Order: sequence, then structure tokens, then C-alpha cells
Amino acid sequence: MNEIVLKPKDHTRISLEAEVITPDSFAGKSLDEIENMMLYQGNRSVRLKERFDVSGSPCDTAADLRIIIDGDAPRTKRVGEKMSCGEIVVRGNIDMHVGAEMTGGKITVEGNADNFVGREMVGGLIHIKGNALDYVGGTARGKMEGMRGGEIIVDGDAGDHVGNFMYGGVIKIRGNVGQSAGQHMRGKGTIIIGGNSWSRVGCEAADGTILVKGKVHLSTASLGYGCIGQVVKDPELGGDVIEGEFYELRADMGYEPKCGIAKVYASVGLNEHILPGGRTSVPRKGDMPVNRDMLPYLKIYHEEMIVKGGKK
Amino acid sequence: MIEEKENIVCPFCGCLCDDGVVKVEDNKIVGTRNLCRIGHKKFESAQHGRAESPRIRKNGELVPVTLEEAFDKAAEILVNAERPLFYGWSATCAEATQVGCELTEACRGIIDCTATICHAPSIEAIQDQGAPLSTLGEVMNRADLILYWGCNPMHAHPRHMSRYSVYPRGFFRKRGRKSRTIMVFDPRRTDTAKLADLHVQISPASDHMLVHTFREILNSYDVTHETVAGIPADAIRETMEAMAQHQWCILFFGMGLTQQMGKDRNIDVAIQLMHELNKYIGIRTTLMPMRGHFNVAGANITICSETGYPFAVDFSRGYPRYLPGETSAMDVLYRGEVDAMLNIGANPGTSFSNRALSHMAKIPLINIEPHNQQLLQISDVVFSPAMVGIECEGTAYRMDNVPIKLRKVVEPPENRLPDVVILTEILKRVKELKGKGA
Repeated sequence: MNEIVLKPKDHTRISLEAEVITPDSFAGKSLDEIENMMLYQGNRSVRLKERFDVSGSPCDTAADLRIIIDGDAPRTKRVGEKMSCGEIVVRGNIDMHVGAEMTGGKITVEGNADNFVGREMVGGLIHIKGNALDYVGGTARGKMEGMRGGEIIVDGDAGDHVGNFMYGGVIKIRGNVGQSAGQHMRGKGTIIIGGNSWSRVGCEAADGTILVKGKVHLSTASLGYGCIGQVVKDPELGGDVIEGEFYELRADMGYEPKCGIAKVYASVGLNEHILPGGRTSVPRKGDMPVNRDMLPYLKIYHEEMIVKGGKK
Repeated sequence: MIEEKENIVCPFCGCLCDDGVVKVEDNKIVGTRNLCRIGHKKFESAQHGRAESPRIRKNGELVPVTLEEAFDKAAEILVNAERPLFYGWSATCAEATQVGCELTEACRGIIDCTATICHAPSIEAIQDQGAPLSTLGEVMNRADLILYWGCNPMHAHPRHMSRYSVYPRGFFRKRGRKSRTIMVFDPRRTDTAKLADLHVQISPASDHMLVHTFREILNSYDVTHETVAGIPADAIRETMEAMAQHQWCILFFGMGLTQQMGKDRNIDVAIQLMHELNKYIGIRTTLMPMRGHFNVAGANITICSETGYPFAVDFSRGYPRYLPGETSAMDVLYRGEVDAMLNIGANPGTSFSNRALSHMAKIPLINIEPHNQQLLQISDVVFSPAMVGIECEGTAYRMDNVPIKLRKVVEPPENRLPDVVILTEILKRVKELKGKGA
């Protein structure tokens, strides 16, 4: 597999829009041509070589190409947008829209990712080894179709609205998630949450499945006021058998009753408060899912705060 | 001699009451009639505490300069910026917003209005779900069930109840207040709640759960818990039954619903409830956001008609893009992405977070604001314009999206130009500078 290494030169405050960083657009180009590709920054445009040191061996077929962003790129948006094959590895943090609308290939982010990871993706695999922020596998505002296929794995926590308007595919979050996971799910998608889920799991979901291995916060969820289904042992979801006992719950009424019913599985051990007559739990401090200091942009911000400097 | 000017539109809140009488003596406003206390204060204090105009910050001090110099400086700041932000627009007229959209496109910046920290969640939910809307005239003539959810019109829109919703006699509601039922959903016992027939005192931040429980009942599911959102299940069923006895219902909602946890999801589920009330019970149900500033609805409508999107529009690539969370004012300021800002018809000094304000202190800031406000301390170019609706004319949109022509009451002080003229002058210079660069 041929590799092209992009080493970020410096951090700018204004985000780069780098939708050209995909194997599809790098394939068949020489290093010189790649260096001169245009990125957008604010209302200006810059050449790729002004922001990245480019090295490696180009190749003609995108499927054999691996792009490595060798370092932190917390202000580089839209990396891997609409990619169809090949591989991207980010050795650090990355900004919004990583892997948006991708149809195939693989993206690995070794740090954290900002909002809209895998927005409206159709296929392929995104693996975030740190935390991800809001709208993982979600949709842009006003669009009614989110993620349709493929797989997103987040090893850390994720923010709010995971799988917003999801139509298919699998999202696996190993840590906790924020509120409204799987809201407006419309298709046969699957969300598996390893940790706790903040309120309103599956709100207004019409179809699909959400499994929470930790606690489902009922304090603001609609869950549980309807039917409490049976207890299911070791359900099979997203190609895996998940060990343990889970309550099978109806997520929401959806748009119309005819839409089908989304299911939420919540672990039996931690979710007694869901049962009829159970006390609605009061959120405690330790329950909040995402450690918000992990956000890549806050890091930049705090660095600047230390430098201080008055007005201009 | 005191002159009484009649049928003056009050430029304060989204009600835009158009029956005000303003008393003027020697170009001084000396009193009003018909208006509420807030509207009276708006007219009475309009001519006091005005900012000097125009000024530029030199060596840390705001010093008075000529208008020409201030226009040149503002244009220079905007042309040199990589990601300028144009924020505000809700306390100015629709014509100014129109010029603002053109200015944003010329500078390739971001335009956002104050809805971004107020009723933007309502707009986002309406984009996802659609919404049954009506005008306030329809409410007056038809509504027999009025729900106030998370808002306190007695204090924030004082004449809303007497002019549009609760007290007036309508064509089908001839007995005024006696023909109508008022329900208030609020965690606090507000003055609006004291007037209501039913005050549902829900526990804070559980509105979504309560709306959802209403939907469960409508969809013939049972409520299995004893209490929901601090309300006994039986009381919720009875409330639903009481609501079902009516013919025409309107839901007015405010910040209590839009700016608590869940934001647009609260409105989303409320729109679903309206839909189901229409569908299953046959109550004609509509909803209306209680807009704050007098022209915040107009800012959304104007930006939408000019660019295609209602707020948070990014022109950085030359064409409009819209993605709240990425292009909205608060987010770009939080991330420190903005490198110049123009503020008009808003006061971020009191409504923005500390982090956003501390970034605004670092960047060049052009401020178009008639009065001395907090933001002047960090502004670099200050224009004090004529006030729309008091010193110059303009169009504003009421909370039900009805355009109303604002009227001129007194002559503006010397050197105070209308917002439209200030923006047009800046736009002219920006185009000249851009032309030179190309």
C-alpha cells in the first residue's frame, strides 16, 4: 500500500476546509500536484503545501493509497469527505465533518474528533480512538437522511445526538453518550452504547435499535412510560452477540404509528428505575458523559489564553 | 405646544402594538398613551444616554472622528478580515438586513441574527417537522384554548394578552376572556400563571417528558408511572381531557422551552403534539413562538428571502451555506474563528458567554448602536444611528410574521444616520476596496 504523509505545519485559528484530502482526489497525482491542491480557509484559499509538509509515494489507484496526517490537525475540517476507497490515518485530533458522506474505505483518528463524524455516510469504516463530539453519524440541518450504512466506532465518549436521522449502518460507542442518542432514527440502523446514556434515548425514533449497556437516564427520557417489554438475554445486534440481560423497551411512537417501532435495550442490572413505580433518577455530577475539556479546540483556546496579550 | 402623534407602532417586543400615541414637544418625546410600561420606557428614554457618533479607538481611547473616516475604517477592517461575522439585525429594520446580506456576501463572511441565542431551536424544529402556524388575528377571533408554555407574557410581552390572545372579543369568541380557557405550563408561579385557569407547575427541565406523556395518552398508551415531571399521572390525564373539550387551541412558547436541555427537541415534540391533537381529536391547533425583539422575526425572514437560510449563513466560499453548530455566531466565537465583527441592533454584552466576549475583545469590532451599552468598551469603530421606529422609518415583522411599517416620531439628532445609510456607505467602500485588490 502506498503512503502519502501530510505533516501539519502550524495551527491556525480559522479552520481549513480540506475536502480534497481523500485518496480519491490524491490518486493519479504527483507529489507536486498534490502540494498545489487548494484548501479553503475563511474567505481565502491556500495551497496544501502552505499548511502541510507533503512526502511519500503517490499512486494511480485510490484503493491502494493510504493518507497519513502525521500530527494534530484540530482545525482541519472535512477530511475524507465523500471518499470511496483507500485509507486515511490521523495521528492526532481532527476537526468537524471527518468522513462526511463517505461511501467506502477506512478512516482512523488516533485523537479526538469534533462534531459531525461520518455525517450522512453510506459505507466504509470510521474508527475514533479518542472522544467524538455531537452528531456522530448524524445529518446536516434540514436534511432528513443521516447515516445510511457503514460503521463508526468511537473508543471514548460521544456527545449529543448520536445517530441523528439514522437510516442504517452501525455505530458503536464504547464510552458514554450525551442526550438524544438515536433521535429520529428512521431505518434499520443500530447504535450500541457501552457506557451510560444521558436522557431521551431514541426520542421520536420510528425504527432501528439502540442498546445501552450502562444506565439509561430516565430523568428526562420518554422511555418507560409506555410498555415495559420482556427481558432479553444475549441479543444479537450489529453482527455481534451482546452478553447480558436487557429490558426491551419501545423507544418512541415515531412520526406515525405505522412507521414501525424503534427498540431500546437497557441493561437489567443498572436500570431498575425504568420499571413502573420506579423513582425517576436525579442526575448527579458524575453522570455527565463527555469530559468537555477534551475538546480539541478548547486546547487551542487555552493556549492562547496563557499567552494573553491585550487588544491586538 | 404638545403634539400628539397617533397610531405609532411600538418598536420594543414582537407584539408590535400599532395603536400607540406619543406626545412630542419641540422634537422631545414627553409622554405616551396606550402603550405598556416597557413600550413607554422605550420612547421616553430613547433620547437619553445616546452614544456619541462616530468614534474610532485610537491608543485605547474612543475618539470622535468624521463620518467619512469611520466609514473608511469600518470598510478597511471588513475587507482585511478572513472570517468576518455580521451579528444582530433584530432591533433594526428589514431594509437594513437586506443591505447587511449584500455586505456579508461582498465580504464573504457569516451573517447571524439574535435568534441564534433565542428562538433558533424553534426554527430548526420547524425545518424538521413543519409547523401549523396562524396569525394573531386568527387567535383573537377563534382561539378558545390558550396554552402559554415556558413564557411569561405578563412581564415580557405585557399587551400580548390584552390585544391578541386572552381578553379581546373576537368574531367567534364574543365574550372575550369568558370564552377562553388559559393554561400555563411553568415551573414558577409567574404573574401569567396567576391569571390562568390552570397552572401546571412542572419540575424544571422536564417539559419534553410532559409533552411526550400527553402524546402517549393521545396514542392510547398508558402512563405507567405515578408522577411525571412532578405532576401526578391522574392530573395529566385530566388536563388532556380538559384540553380535548375545546375547538381551537394555540400554543405560545418561549425561552422556557427553547433554551433548556434538548432545545429544538422540545419544540419538535411539541409540534408532534399539535399534529396529533389536530389529527385524533379534531381540535384546530396551531403554535407560535413568542419572539422577543421587535424585528427578530423580520431578521429571520429577510435573511431567508435573501440567502435561502434563516440564520447562521456562511458566505466564506462565495455561496450561502448553513449549519448551526458550525456557522452560528456563538460557535465561531467560541472557537475563536472570527477575526472581525460587526454588531448592529443587538447587545451581545449582556447575552453572550464570557468566552465569546473575551474573543470579541481581541478582534476589531464595529458597533452600530444608538445608546451607550456594555459593548462600547471593547468596540473599535462606533456608529450611533437613528433609532428605527422612533427617528426613522422601516419595516418590521410581528411575531406571527406579519410585516408592519414603523413610523418616524421625532427628528434624529445631528450626525445620526439610519442603519440602512450607514450599511450602504460601508458596502460602497467595501466594493471599491475589493475592486482595487482585484
